[in-house]
Amino acid sequence: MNWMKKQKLIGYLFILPSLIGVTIFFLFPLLFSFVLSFTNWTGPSGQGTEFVGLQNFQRLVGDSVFHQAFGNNFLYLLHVPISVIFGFIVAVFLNRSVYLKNLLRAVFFLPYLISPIAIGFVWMLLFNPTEGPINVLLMNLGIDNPPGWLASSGSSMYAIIVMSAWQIMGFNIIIYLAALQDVPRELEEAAKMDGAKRWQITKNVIFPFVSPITLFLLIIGIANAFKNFGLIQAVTGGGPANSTNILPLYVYQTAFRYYELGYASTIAIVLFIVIFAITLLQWFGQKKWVHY
Amino acid sequence: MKKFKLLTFALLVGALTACGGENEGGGENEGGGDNSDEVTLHFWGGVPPENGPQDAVDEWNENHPDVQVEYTRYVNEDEGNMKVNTSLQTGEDMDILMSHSPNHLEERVQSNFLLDLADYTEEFDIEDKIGPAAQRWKMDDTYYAVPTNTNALFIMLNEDKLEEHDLSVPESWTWEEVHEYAKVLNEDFSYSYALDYDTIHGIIQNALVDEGLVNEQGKSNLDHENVKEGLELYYQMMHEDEVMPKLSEQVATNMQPEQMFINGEIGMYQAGAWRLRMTNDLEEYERDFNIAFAPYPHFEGQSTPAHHVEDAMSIVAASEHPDEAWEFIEWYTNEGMLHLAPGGRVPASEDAPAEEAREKIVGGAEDTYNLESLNNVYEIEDTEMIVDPPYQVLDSINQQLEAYFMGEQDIDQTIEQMVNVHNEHIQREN
Repeated sequence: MNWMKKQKLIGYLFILPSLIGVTIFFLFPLLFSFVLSFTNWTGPSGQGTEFVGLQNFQRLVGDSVFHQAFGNNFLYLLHVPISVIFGFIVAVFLNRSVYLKNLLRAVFFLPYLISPIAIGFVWMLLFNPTEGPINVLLMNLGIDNPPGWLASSGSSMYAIIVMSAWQIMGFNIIIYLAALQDVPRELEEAAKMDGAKRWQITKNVIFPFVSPITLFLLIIGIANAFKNFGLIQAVTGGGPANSTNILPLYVYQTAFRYYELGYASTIAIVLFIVIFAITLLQWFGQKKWVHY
Repeated sequence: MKKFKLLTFALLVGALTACGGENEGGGENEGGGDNSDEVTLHFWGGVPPENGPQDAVDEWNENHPDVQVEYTRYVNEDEGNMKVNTSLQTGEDMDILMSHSPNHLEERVQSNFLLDLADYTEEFDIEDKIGPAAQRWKMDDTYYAVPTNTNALFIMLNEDKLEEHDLSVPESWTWEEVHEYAKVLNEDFSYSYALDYDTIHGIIQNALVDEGLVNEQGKSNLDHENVKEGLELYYQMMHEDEVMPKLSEQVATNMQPEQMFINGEIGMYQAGAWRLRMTNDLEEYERDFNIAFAPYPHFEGQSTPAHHVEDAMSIVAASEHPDEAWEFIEWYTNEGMLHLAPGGRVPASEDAPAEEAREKIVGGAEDTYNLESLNNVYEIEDTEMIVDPPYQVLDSINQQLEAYFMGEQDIDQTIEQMVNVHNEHIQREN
């Protein structure tokens, strides 16, 4: 064995532990759920499981709850760009000289550290349709018929979007603040010398400079929006009338409440394809607006 | 070069020992006693130990030094039941399991986790001892579980206000009569009638108590006229007469009807024996009126829903001590259950001392109840068992009901949707 080969072997040995981990905990479950999606596995132990071909996929086509959850999921995605935009604005302000900068930074980051369950219950109080501060404020402003928020299927998803955006904004701010430290002062100064106004500097100098971070936050945020459902589970459980049911929640219910593991795997596979497609889209779309 | 070899070696050893460590810890010693004849039974259930199971187990352990029982509580929610199923699958120590819903029992039976009790029930005939209500737990024409607890269903009434309005405590009543009572009582309360919102589908089960969920043709019965009548009545009570909290408000504000009933803000509260633990506790839940009990209402010409028999105990198929486990189950059903009475659980078995249990369920607050009406609720006749829809159908019913009671779809759409989902489910199962 020559020296190069030895080196390579040792290299593989070094990554072996994590390779084993990835295989057991990620690759195998992924492949297994792919196989499961073609079976009729029901019940905790899957007695009498058979391959049923594309039957589960056919069922998806006619499953109205799946359609609704699919649509809701895209609506739910809205909280990602909202939290990224607001995160950017707040980070820019925090980065300039503001009083109590450190305290404010901590305050904005705090929601990200709190359990979504706790956040959910606080927001439930705020969104109370008759006595909650939000609707009381709206009514005092002269709006006679404020939305029912969580109590109506037309507005419940928007309430969830507000909660989620608020929760992940802190994370976006911290990441943006770190990125803003890398924006060269001389560029800003040069722009200022040329007579650019503050918002012009922000738009034409700072924003392009942190665009890779924006892409990163969008990808992470959107992938998470297809995976996390703790907040929704705690606040509405998918209701009222399925208006806040999203795909990961539906997968969870199908798998661990109804024990239809075959069908749940089918939904999970579709979910995987959707996330993958969206990420690809973002990846190719980035060329138009991301500058490295 | 040597350094590299040493390093990779250390790494490998590290990885291997990390994996091996788990196994050594897993082989726990059985019971830990010196006596090798001693049997330890692991008993899992969803009732908090302090509500009686621990006292029952302690009594048993005192009298049976050879067969010791250890109680493990799981939380009876989706997550807790998933944990139970995983434990059954992986062969964790478990000999006796209490299931709290026929749906969960069915999953476990289908997975061959539980023992068919046919051999044991020759001497202990379940339907003889527990009554026809036990059939709720019958699967494949046999029993895998013994229900231990009669969970009485009733409506708690604010007796003081009833007397003010010269209303008698009903011994049996229809939904129309409930409606009349609610209209008369409403001036004294925020709402004269309320229930826990997650039991709202009960009206459908109540409507189909005689007809069943599935009709003779094997199709959904959810389009039966009683279902429509019941739902429209609730709608009217919520939106037109405003005697009942609107579902949307109840959900969004996380309303606590039991608390409001105790505060005197609700006149009639549809609940069951599980709420007695709360109303017995006069210190924590102060109350300045007497409570009377009415049975669940029924539809004109139909039966009254029977009390649920619940908390069904099974022997785990993998148990090494099924005979001892059965002995414990039998004892628990007839005698151990008495320890659970103060929490509102009355033994379901006719061999158990029912009188004593019924005294215990109101322990500490006897003077604040109309006990005659409570006895009447337990003795009520002409009852029929309620059927539980599978979770898929139940969840869908609840979602449709939310949309209906929020005024987002009309009654015909609601029923059509429910029927479709139900029929699809029936078709898939066959």
